[in-house]
Parts: sequence; C-alpha cells; structure tokens
Amino acid sequence: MALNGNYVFRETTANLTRNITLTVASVLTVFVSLAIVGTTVLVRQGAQNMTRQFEGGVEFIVYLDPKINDQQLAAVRKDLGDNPGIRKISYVNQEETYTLFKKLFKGQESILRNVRASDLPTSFKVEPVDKSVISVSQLATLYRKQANVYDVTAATDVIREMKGMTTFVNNGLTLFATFLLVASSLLILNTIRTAMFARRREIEVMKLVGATNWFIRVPFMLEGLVQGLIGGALAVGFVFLARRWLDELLNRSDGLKLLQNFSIASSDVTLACLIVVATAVALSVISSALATRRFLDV
Amino acid sequence: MIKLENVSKVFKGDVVALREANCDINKGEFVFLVGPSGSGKSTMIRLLNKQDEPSTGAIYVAGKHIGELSSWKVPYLRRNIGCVFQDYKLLSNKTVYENVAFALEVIGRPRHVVKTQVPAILELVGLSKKHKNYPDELSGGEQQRVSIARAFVNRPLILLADEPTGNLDPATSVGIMRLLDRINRTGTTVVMATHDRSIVDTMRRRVIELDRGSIVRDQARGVYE
Repeated sequence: MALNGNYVFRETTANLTRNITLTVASVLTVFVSLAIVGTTVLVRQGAQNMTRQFEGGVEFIVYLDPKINDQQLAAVRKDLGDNPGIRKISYVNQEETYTLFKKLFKGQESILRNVRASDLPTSFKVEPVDKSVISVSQLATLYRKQANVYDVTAATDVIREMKGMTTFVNNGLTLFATFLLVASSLLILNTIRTAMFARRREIEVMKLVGATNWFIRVPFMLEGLVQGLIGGALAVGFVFLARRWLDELLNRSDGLKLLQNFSIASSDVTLACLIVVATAVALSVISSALATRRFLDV
Repeated sequence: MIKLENVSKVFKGDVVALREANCDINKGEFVFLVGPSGSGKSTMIRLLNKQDEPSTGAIYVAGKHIGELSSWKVPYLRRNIGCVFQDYKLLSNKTVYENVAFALEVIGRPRHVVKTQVPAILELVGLSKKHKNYPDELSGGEQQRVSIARAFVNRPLILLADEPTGNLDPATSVGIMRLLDRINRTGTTVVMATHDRSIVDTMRRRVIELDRGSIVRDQARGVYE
C-alpha cells in the first residue's frame, strides 16, 4: 500500500472540518473526561505524598536538631531504643533526607539551589508497640520535650481520616471518569461513522477501482486520533492549571494546616500528563479501529 | 480470461439469480449479456469482480480462482477490472479531471503518472475541453464517457459494463459503443450487460443470453434474439 502523505492530510482535514459540530463535541468530551483523569492522578499522588512518611507501621517521626553532634545523637537513639513502648526505630541520615527532599521538590530549582544537605534535620522513624491514637500522641509529646529534638510529627487520626477521604474522593472521580471515557469513545466512534456514511459513495468508488481497505481506513482513523489528541492536549493544559490551583489553595488557607504535607511534585504532574496522553491515544485508536471495521464491504 | 464453472447464485428466500452457469471468455473478446430484467445479467457482472460471492461453482479471472482469493487481495484483482454502470457513479463534488484522477490516486499511483495518464484518457473519450466541469454540468452521454475514462485509465485487462447505455438516447448510445469498441480493440476484454436490441444487432459480437438465471444461448457474432 502506497499511502500518499498529501492525500492522507487532505482527506483527514476535510473529514475534520466537514462535520465541525460533531468534531467539537467529541473533542470537548475527551477533554473533560481526561481532565478528570488527570486531576484524579494529581490528587492521588498528592495524598500519597502526604501519607508516605507514615507507611509500614511508622506512627511518628522524631526530627533531630540539625546541629546535633554524634554523642547527643547516640543518646537519643539509646533513649528511643530502651523505651519498652517502642518496637522499632530506623534512622534517616542526612544523605537520605536530602535525596527525599530532592524528590519532593523536583523541578523547583530555586529551592534546591538554596538548601544544602547540612541544613536538613535528620530523623528517626518510630514504630510503637501500641498504635492507638492516645499512646502515639503521649509518646510524641514526651519526645517533643527532649533535648536535641527539633520536632515530632505523628500520624494522627486526622491523617488517617484524610487518607480515607482522598480514597473516597478518588474512587468517585475514577467512576465519573470511566463513564465519561466511555461516552467520549462512543462519540468519536459515531463521528467517524457519520463521516464514513457521508462519504459512502466515494468509498464505494474507491473499493471498485481497487483501493485497499487500509488506504480507505487511514484518513478516518487519523480523524479519530486527531480528535483524541486535541482533547488530550487540552487536558494536559488543565492538569498544569489544576496543580497551580491546588498549590494556591494550600498556601492560602492557614486553616488547612493538615494539608501541609499534601504536596504535588513535578514528577507527579509528568505522570498525570503521561497517563492523560496515553489514555487519549488508546481511546481514539480503539474507537477509530472499531468504527472503520464496518462500512467497508462493497 | 474469464471462466465460469457451474456457477449458481441463490439469494435469501430461494431466489435463484444464476443457475449452473458455464462459459469461457477469451482475452480480447467483446461479449454481450442479454436477457430480460431479473435474468441474472447484473448478478453475473457482480460476481466477476467479487462484489458478490457465488453460492456454488468456481469463477476464474485471469487464471485465478477468485473464490479462493483472500480478502486483502481483492483490491488487486479489481485493479485489473474496470467497471461502468448505468448510473455512472461519478462523485458530484469532484470535477471531470478529479473524478478520473481519483481512480489512480486511491490505488497509490504517483503524481506524475496521474498527470500524464488523466489528460491522455480524457483525450481518448473526447472530453479534454470539459476537464474542469462538474458532473452535473455534463450531459448523460458525457457523464458516461467520464465514467468509462475512470474505468479505463488504469488500463485494466477487463472492462465490465452494466447497461452503460440504459439511460441514454440511441444517438448518444452509438457514441458510447464506438468508445467501448475502441477500448476493446486495444486488447481489453469487454463484458457488457444490455437491453438494447439495436446495439447488439449492429455490433454482431458474441451474445450470451440469460433467462431466469440460466444461460440459454451462447452465440458468436449473434443478435439480440
């Protein structure tokens, strides 16, 4: 099959502009559904970042004074280790802290440039024996008062609740996104079917003079792909906007102190964009392939 | 070039369109298919370029058993078979030139081939001056010439014509027949289904007569009945 690039371009553009209302409808539906998909990914990643520190049974973290010396460090370690209420501790050294820090602030060069590894507090991740809220907060209060301890953060029940809430919100968004994705696939499919129906005489002639099925199919499939990609591109733009809004929302509201740890890293935005684009391509290719399967029998 | 072996075509509801048809058409022949409406002429034409499948029997085109052709090869079969219809099947949004060029473009012929072949074929059918006109600006005879140009521009081995003069007056029909005759003289096998008694009687070519799906006469240099 010799596909003439000029021919394919001309036919695809003609198809897209011929039925502009349907094209716009499918592009917008793709956009909205993928925007929801992208936002869901952002929220999920942000929530994960918020609660990441408290994974694997860790209930609270003891941050040490950055200027602590080895002796003082050993004292704190012994103190924690000897406490019968504590099952396990693990030390996060300066290097590991800095690696984590770099991961969290990836892409934000000005922050990365101004902070050195020695500025960051090292910490102990602590897994207590009794994980009830009362016991954890008692331990946290106890260690907050200790010498050479900078601060203690605990996985309070608020954080646990937040975790549950974001899961709930995410599931809701995912459900909506699924319905909308199905709707947009069907719209793309219908747009292509309509385009093929409008041109059935041309298709009939093409078949009679011996055009291959792929030759006939490709411009229509590209039409679907273009619709998906435009919708996807708009959704990618929306993901960036959504990140800005979320950041602003979190910075502005002091009342939302709880959400302080809710952060969206640049890598999360990239992930969201990749998922959006991949979904756009998959969605449009599948519906185009389905749409062009029939109508070709002459 | 074309061979039918016990070919039958039965449509849903036991409508027999073609019954145990046998015939052999040589390269370069000009064959008329005659018979009343519903006798199976169009069905036979449709079977030859695989627009339809026979219910039983075998059809050979250019030595190939087309029933055994895989579906992706059908387009290549059709590139060897030009088709002309009673209703022309021209694309109304394309000019004469574009209609003919379309047939070459969609089988992937390079642009320089299109640019030389299309004017040549329009010259042959006598429409060089009207290459910029749209089909609805042409008379019936001219439209049929465009359709013949489109069918022949790729120089097929076989030209199938299903009542090409069905919508035309006698004088115009004569012109179309002259054109088909010229094409036949270049070595192209022509199979034409027709009702037109005077055309068949003047041309005196091979006549295959069908009646209710059966071949009832196969006569060289025959007349309509």
